[in-house]
Amino acid sequence: MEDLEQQFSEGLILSTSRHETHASNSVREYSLDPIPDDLLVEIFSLVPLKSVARFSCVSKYWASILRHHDFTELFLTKSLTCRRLRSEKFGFINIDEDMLPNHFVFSGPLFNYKGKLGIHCRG
Amino acid sequence: MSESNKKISLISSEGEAFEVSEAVAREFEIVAHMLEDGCSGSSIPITTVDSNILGKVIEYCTKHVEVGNVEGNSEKAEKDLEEFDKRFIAVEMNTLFSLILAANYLNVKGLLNIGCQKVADTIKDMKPEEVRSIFNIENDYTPAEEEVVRKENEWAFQP
Repeated sequence: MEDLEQQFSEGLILSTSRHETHASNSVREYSLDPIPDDLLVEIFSLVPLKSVARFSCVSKYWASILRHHDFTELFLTKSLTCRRLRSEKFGFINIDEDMLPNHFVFSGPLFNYKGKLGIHCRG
Repeated sequence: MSESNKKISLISSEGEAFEVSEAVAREFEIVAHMLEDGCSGSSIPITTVDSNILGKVIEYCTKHVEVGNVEGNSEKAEKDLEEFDKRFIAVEMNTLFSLILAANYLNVKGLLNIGCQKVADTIKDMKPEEVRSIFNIENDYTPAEEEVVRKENEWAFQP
């Protein structure tokens, strides 16, 4: 796990040279250039939680990106600022931003996240 | 010649020159920074983007500059631009990936945003197998590992 996180951090910084270390996981057939990790993170942050959960089954490398705190923080922040949480599976449907507690624990198969989301979503 | 009429040539990876106004060239933030840093040349090589994709990115930027220049920009103009964006990004997946990579490299934020959104909308309902195929990703889970991760995320596979 630490190895994967280490690789992911390096990937973010050195996205232009990453295909040397992650070629088998990331190179697409269409182009010589892989989609850099920061763009993958951006794309993942735009899909529903259900898709994120399915995407963690794509490969170990994608799962490591989806578990990484850079992604989970971005995803949760976007979820709260751009749309209401709509997952039927997590029990807080239609929560208004104003109703959110300042602290809560979010944990599930994908995340083990403790945060102060109230601060993030109010910018 | 006034600054707004100044022309700049953007050179694709194949060496093809695309002449654009400075205003359009400045939509590429990477070019805007070069110009601000005192690059006075009228010819700028964009070595990592081919002619096909560079032409498309220029088309996108030209439209956005034109609409931005209309005085008293109306709601209709904004709606037209939204329609343009929708049509512009309705391309096959390999072109979409190339556009995103180019927009990322050239730092054209609007195009990058609509490109990422389009990919997200396209893949959000796909199964892992379909996503692997689109991104050409090798499944590096062993069958046993895959069974575990699928079980953990079982709820996400239900309709």
